[in-house]
Amino acid sequence: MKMASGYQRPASSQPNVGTPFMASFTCRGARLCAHLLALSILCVLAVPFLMASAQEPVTTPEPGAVVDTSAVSDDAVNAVAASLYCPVCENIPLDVCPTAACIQWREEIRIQLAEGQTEQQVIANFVNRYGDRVVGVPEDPLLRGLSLITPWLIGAVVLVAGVSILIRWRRGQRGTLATTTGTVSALDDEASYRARLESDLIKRR
Amino acid sequence: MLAEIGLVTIFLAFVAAVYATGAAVLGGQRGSERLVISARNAAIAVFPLLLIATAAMLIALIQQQYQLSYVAAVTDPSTPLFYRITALWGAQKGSLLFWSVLMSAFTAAAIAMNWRSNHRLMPYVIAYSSAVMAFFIGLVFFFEHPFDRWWWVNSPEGIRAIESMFIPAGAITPPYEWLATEKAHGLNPLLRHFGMIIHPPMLYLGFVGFTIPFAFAMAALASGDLSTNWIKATRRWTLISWIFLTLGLILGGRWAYDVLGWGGYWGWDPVENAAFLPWLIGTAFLHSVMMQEKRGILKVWNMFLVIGTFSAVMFGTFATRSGLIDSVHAFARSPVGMPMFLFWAAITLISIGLILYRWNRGELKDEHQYFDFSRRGNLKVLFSREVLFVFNNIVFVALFVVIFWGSFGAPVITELFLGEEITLGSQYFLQVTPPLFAVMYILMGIAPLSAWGVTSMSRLGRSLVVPLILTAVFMLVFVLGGMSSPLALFAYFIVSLAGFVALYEIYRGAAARRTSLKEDWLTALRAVFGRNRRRYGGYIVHLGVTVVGIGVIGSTMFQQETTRTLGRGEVMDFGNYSMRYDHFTEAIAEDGRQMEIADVTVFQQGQEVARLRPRFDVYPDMPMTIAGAHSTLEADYYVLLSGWVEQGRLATFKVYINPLVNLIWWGSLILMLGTFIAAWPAQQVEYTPAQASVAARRQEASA
Repeated sequence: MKMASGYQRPASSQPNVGTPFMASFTCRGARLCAHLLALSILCVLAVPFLMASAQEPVTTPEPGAVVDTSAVSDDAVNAVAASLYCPVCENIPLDVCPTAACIQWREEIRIQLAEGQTEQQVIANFVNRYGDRVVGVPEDPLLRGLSLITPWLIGAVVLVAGVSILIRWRRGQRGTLATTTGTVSALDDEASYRARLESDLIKRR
Repeated sequence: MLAEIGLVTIFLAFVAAVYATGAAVLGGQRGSERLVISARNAAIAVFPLLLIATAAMLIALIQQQYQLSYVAAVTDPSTPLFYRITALWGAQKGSLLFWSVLMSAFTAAAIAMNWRSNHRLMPYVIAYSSAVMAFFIGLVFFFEHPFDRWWWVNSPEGIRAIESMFIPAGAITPPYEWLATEKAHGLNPLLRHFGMIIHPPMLYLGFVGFTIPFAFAMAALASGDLSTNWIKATRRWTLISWIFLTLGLILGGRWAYDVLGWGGYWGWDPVENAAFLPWLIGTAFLHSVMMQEKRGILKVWNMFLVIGTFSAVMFGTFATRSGLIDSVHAFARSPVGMPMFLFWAAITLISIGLILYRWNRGELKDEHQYFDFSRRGNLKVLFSREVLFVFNNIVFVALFVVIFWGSFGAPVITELFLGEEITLGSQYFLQVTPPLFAVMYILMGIAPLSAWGVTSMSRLGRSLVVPLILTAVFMLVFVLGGMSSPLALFAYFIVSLAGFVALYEIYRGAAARRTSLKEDWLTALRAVFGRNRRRYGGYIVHLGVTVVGIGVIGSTMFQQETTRTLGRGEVMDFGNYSMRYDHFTEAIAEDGRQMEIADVTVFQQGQEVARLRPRFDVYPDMPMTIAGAHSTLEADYYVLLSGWVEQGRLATFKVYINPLVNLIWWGSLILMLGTFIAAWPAQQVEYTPAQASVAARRQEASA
């Protein structure tokens, strides 16, 4: 039985006898990818820990101290408030939230900035008081890692699964096509045999 | 009387939908034409029944019949007629009824139009679409009754008002004056805007429209007719649903820009994202479906996409209506939360189960290979249109995954398993989505130039020369205009390349006709669009997406904002503009809201360019900040009145300069135009017998 020539590679170009070229490439590539993926996950996970440890300690004002806030502009307050979410509303950034509570929180930001705290310190104060729901990406290293890495992990897993399905499917397809071609070839052989037989019979007559 | 009419017709519609489901399944299994016809008639009958119920509700709203608790909840005596009509979808109960009637209209139309051409699929199309209808009508009838009424009943404590669908024993109808003053609340102020009036119906039409491709896909799986019949039958339905969903998203953005008072149009809010998710998967499906039609490949993938789109619609509906967005625990308290969750889970699992069943039986095998690396010139295969379409699909699905995770996955999982409430806001989305959108635009620029099967690098490079030159010239304009940000230039480069490729392809098509048929430009353009509406309509869509992209980059990367407090007559400078605060007015509108209005004059290079009236509206329950905006193609000067003291002696303004933001709306119009061209039915050409045989031979040759 004749095999479909389009699906055979010259022996010299096959890197591993018995293993399809792409499959071996994919296995090596997959291992490399897996190592790179693991390394990148470790790096990304490490960043928030390093950032958290590098943060300066949060200063608190002395009780009863009067702070002059006139030097802090609305724009400076809004720049910090834009990084925060209203602690009691649903997904409303603090800089645009119109409620009385939010106006008060913006005034708190003004006071903290006037006390000399940095933007990061003000944000850390809010996170300490209201939890990670007041920031657009959690400050907590575990939650931050979970939030930022998981979608890519899901994507990578889906991609790996997709590629493996594709490879399996390709093998199956090859098999099917080879079988189909084989059957066609067999039918062709039979047809040509019959044709020869008929012509021989005509000659004999 | 209206309540009784509404109740009876909703009940009959529910019975008809349930009967249609059962009869269609039985008819399909037994091969009984009579049963299938009976199921068809029942499924179609749902539409007029729900139309009567909806008409009853509309009459009640127009006539302000406050005994109906829904009418009292969404209107009051001061509500104008227009808003009394649009109040039909102003709250959950009415909007579910509206949703059901739209779904029944789509279903009736799809069944009637495909009855003869797709007869084999019909029993299961009727079964699946009727099952979905039955679920939503059931929600209306059993959980969210729009025809509940207020009653006065005697109790030991005196007269008590209760809300009930049926008349309680010994109850009397409360007097109209009492209902109007005590129970009539009026429409949510946020919904009193043109964008918000059209936005929900458009979204609903988009959502319910996707039921039809889903029902056809499921019918194909159930009946075993896995040819391209279901794809051909649903192509136009998918496009129409996509048009409505796109329009709904755009109008939602415009409403947010005008009404929410934060200077933006897309806040990555879970409610917005819930509508965006089905759009992403639906767009992936619109692209990949071409592969199945033209090449007979990606059959399983297309099934997953069409089911994924419908599943995303169901999930979005569940998430926004059940309270899941407020808290993971809130949906259990919502009357529709658990039924919706169970329906969504069941329909998704059944669909995936059916795909796997057919796949396992080898009935979803592709007809061709598209990833044949065993051939020489593997790179040519990599740049083929098939492979680029697969990449396009991966990008859309990746966008779906990261947006779903940020909107629902991470907040729900952390609250459920770690007891920690988190918010993934724009900071998250602006980190994870731009690279994916960049790849999407790059693919938009390359894929139209690649050919099916194989495309060599040199051929692709040659095709790209003209669009690249045009893009380079366009970039030069930006650089000469003072733009120096490499990131912005890169973003503009990839986005505008996609647009120039679309324009160049249209030009090439027309130029080819001009050369071969000696047609003038207008005739040639009309001919290329007329002969291949889908392809050239698609290019117009790409052009629209390009214009939208330019607007998004400009308004996101170069937005400026400031907050200033001004005295009357004082002038502030910001960007290229100056603004003078002129007057402050307090007024009461016809609908009873208190309005605080600031009059400001905007100058550019010393010349007055606009007089704006930003205002602060105070409704009984809610304040609203309505912006005043001076709009040009170059930028919007967008002013909000955010505070005032002493009858406006001092007023605080929040001012935004949003560069190129209007390109988003113009680009959206171009996008809609392209989609209409693509969806418009092809001309039916009548051939003479001789022409018909030539056409048939050509068709055979091209196949």
